[in-house]
Amino acid sequence: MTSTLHRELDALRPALVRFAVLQLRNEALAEDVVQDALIAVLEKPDRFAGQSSLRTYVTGILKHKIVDVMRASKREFRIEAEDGQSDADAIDALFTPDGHTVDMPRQWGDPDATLEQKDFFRVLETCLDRLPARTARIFMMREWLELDTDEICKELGISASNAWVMLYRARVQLRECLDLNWFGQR
Amino acid sequence: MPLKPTCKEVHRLTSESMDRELTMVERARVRMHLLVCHACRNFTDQMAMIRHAMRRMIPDGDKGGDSE
Repeated sequence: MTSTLHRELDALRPALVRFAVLQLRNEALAEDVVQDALIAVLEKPDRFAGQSSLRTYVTGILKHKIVDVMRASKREFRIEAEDGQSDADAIDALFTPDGHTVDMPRQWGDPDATLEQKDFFRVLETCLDRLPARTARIFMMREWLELDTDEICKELGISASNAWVMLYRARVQLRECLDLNWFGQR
Repeated sequence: MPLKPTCKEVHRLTSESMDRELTMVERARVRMHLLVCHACRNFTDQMAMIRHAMRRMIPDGDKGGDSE
C-alpha cells in the first residue's frame, strides 16, 4: 500500500513542481514546497483514503503549503507595481477609439465539454507559462490559490486598483492565448 | 464617464467583478450593455470559463493516459 502510494506520488512530482514554479517562479523553492506537500501526504496516508483522487488531494495540500511559504517570506514576493503603459497599450489595442471591440470574441461552446478534455488543461498550462512572471504570479494567487484581493495586495505590496488592472490584463492575455491555441483549432 | 457604457468599460468591469463587488451603478451599466452587446456577452462567458477552468486545474502526473 505504502509503496504504491510512493510510486504514485513520484509520478505526480514533476507536474506538481511545474505548478509550484508557475506560482513561485523559483525552481528550488518549488522543489522544497512540493517535497513538503508529499511528506505531509506520506505521514498521514489514511487521511486521503476514499476522499477524492490522489491528485486532487495532493494539489489541495500543495496549495496550502505554497500559501504558507508566501506568508512566511513576504519580502521576496513583493513585486513592482505595473508602470501601466505597455499594459494600457495591450488593452487599448482590443478596442476601437470609441470603445467597441475590434474583434468579436467568439463563442467558446459548452464549458463542461471543454473541461472534460485533458488536452485543454495542457494548453491552459502552456498559456499560463507564457504570461509575464508577475502577471502569472498574481493571476495564480487569485484563481488557483483562490486568495482574495486584500490578501494578494498584502503579500505583494501593491494597491487594490493595481491588482485589478494586473488581473484584468492576465485574463485578457490568457483569453487570447486559449482562443488562439485551443478554441481557434477546433 | 460617457453616458452609454462602452465595450471597453464593460470588459474591464467584467474582470473587476471577479475581484471586487461592483457598485450599483456599475452593475446597472454592465447589465444594460450586455442586453445589447453580443461581443461582451461572449467575453463574459469566456471569463467565467477561465475561472472555472482554473479552479478545476490539477497537476497531471502522467503525460499519457489517465486512470481517473
